[in-house]
Amino acid sequence: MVNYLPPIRDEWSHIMDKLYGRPDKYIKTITFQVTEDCCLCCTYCYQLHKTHNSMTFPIAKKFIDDLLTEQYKEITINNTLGLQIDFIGGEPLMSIELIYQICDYFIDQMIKLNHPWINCFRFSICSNGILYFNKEVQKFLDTFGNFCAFSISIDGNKELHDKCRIDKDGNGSYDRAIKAVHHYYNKFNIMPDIKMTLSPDNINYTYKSIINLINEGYKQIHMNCIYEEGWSYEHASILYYELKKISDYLIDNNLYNKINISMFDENKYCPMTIDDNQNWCGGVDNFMFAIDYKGDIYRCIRYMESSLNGDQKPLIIGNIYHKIGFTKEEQENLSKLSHITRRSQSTDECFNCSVASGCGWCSGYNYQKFGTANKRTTYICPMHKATALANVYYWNKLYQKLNINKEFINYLSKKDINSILSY
Amino acid sequence: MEFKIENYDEELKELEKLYYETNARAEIIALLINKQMKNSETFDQYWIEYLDLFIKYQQAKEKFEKEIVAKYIDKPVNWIIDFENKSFRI
Repeated sequence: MVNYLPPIRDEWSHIMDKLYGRPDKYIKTITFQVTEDCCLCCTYCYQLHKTHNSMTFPIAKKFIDDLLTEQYKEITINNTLGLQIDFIGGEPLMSIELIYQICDYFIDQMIKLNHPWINCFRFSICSNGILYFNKEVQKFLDTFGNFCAFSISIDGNKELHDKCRIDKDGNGSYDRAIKAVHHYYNKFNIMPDIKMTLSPDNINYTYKSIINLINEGYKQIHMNCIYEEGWSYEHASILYYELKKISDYLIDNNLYNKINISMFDENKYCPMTIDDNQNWCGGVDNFMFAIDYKGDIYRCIRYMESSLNGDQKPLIIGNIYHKIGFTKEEQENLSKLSHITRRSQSTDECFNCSVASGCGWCSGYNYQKFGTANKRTTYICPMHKATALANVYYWNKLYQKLNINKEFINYLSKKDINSILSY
Repeated sequence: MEFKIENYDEELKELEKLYYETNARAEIIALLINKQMKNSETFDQYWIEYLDLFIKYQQAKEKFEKEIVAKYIDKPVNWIIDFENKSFRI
């Protein structure tokens, strides 16, 4: 059969889990929120309660010391294959000296202790790219670049990026960010990771943005719609026609097996079985831990004060001084999160949806919105259905062009299709 | 020319493991050099482990490219395996 699928660069954690993982031993993710501060004022940022608070090294050191000496029963060498350590903000590069210190100390300690995770760890930073050329950032990349998955946020084309990603003086940041992307590529011979975030403000630019990113050299583009309120079937219609134009571009220019657009997925957009009952979002499970500047521990940064915007109480599961699940409240929070399944949080309509596969949600945002992570927000529903319809177009057009004897089945109802196409 | 690896058998999986283990050691060694620890016992230990892994990987890869690759494609000669892209390339 003709090779019609593009290459997919798996995330490091997926590769390790696939090669070495077991059901009871896998890669776990630890996120240090090194600062709440940011040098941009993006219009759609979910962190509305950002302050100038930053983590200090003693907080991070205390966590690392206890972690590497098996004092967290949730993250031991028996149940953890290796670690992915994320640094997040605000803008994490505003605390690059601290990040350097943490990485240096973490590796030194693993070497001293002859710790097995020395063979299985990765750092990860997602930046807006503004501070990329600072001397300290370059020093970090020179030293730890090979151990670090680095991503620079580019929303699409200049017009779109500069509309949303503005600095404190209102200036767009595209030129500075793309310059950083080019420099990173020349340094490591690999494009930094990219994730395009679609919101009602920028949905009209989807096609132009993707074309720009392809022209910039990206071969793998992750994209998703925000989970927050504000989507309508009018937006869904726009997304469908934008994705249809992207389909035509990829297929007509024979790029279908070279460029990977995450929204085109041959294995999604179909019903799910009742046995497929896992929570889609990782923010409730025992493989994600996030630490803030005070040393409080959460499942994910979306449960922190800086993300919840005062809508709910921060959902703390531990603290670096007394570890995880020490207080009654922490135990209750852990218990509530661990019992969430796809069934428990979904309405019958969602659970039995004909295109349930591939639909996503953010448990932290669910908590922010409803006071419980065990209830799904469904604002994204029309956008997911529009994506499903675009997949029907993309795959069937591709099969036809290549004379592949396959059909990408449409599971959407006529009513859904009409709602998408009626604008 | 590129040939996608669709399904991994155990032999290919073992080779991929060796590839990542060798890389992991090489990265740590580069870091130790960067940290000016080239004369430390740790460096010696990691260097020996790296050499051992590297030789094992090269031998396994050579064997794979010459013999086993025939299971996946018709013309095994001169194909290079590329784990990063999950493919064989000529």
